Amino acid sequence: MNESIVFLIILLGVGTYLTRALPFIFKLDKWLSEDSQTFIAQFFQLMGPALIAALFAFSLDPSLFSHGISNEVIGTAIGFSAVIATFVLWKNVGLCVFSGILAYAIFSFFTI
Amino acid sequence: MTNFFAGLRTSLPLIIGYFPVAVAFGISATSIGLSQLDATLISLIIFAGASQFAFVGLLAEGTSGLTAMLIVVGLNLRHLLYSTSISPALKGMSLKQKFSVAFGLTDEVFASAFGLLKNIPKGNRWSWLVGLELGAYCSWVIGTWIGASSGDLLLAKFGFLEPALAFALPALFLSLLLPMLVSAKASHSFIRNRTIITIISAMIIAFGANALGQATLGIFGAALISPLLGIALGKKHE
Repeated sequence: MNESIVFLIILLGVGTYLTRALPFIFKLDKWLSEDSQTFIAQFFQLMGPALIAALFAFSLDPSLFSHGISNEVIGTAIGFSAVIATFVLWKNVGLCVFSGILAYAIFSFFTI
Repeated sequence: MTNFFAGLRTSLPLIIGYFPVAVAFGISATSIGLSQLDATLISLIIFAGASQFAFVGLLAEGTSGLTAMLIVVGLNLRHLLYSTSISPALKGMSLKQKFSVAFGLTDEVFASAFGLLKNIPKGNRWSWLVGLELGAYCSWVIGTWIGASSGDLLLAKFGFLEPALAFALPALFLSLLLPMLVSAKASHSFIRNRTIITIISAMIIAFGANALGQATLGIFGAALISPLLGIALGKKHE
């Protein structure tokens, strides 16, 4: 086991836990509520969507479209469609991911 | 005890949704060279799907551990909003009880609990929430362990699963983006909505930087520049 990785994992675990537990000690409503108009509150509220959008873009391979409409592009489109359809029906993130993977797997099964 | 099992029953959709994603996480973690134990430890200690995938994805790209950690902590800041929002529903619980349920407040647990907690009598909420979180947590950790320990075998036998499992990361982030897009769509001016401007600009910055081989810089840039663009160009209450 790599000790530096374990150290990072523990630090990340503590950091993640603190983001979930701190609002129970400190009243952050003033800073974080949707009605707050302070610059910090507005910036902070938008930082989450910005990071998720950035990580979504990061997760897409930039070379995906370099070979035209490949099986990878079609599989990705089918997977995304399944994710969106599941979201419309059940609004459950776990099920959305599962259906996306399942749709992509079925497509791969018939094309690989 | 009845409330605990009621929470556990409510966690069934989470268990079903988490399991294959956790298997995919276990496989992707070991595929970048982490041991089975490391991969399982990540799920055991962190228990945050998007953050774990981002952490492993960044390490795979050669990002330093410290930089990866900073990005992941930034990604986790949204949990502050969750706990702040759910806090009123936990009134009456001791601080110790609140701390014990804080660990399991993932995106999905929060989404499930937020709508349902108000229908549960105050005195029963803690055990109900523990049941809900425990179901999701067990599914996540066991799925990771199975993925990490049998990933190689699974992929050798069912090769078609490899590209599908690699799709878990974009599918996960799209699933997290969709509720934000839907709530922004509800406003009168979709195109001038701050969240929409922030999301689109962040995607452009990150995708462009990734194409130029500067993925980490792109993520940091998007996290800092896009909210500013959203505030400057968008309207909050249309």
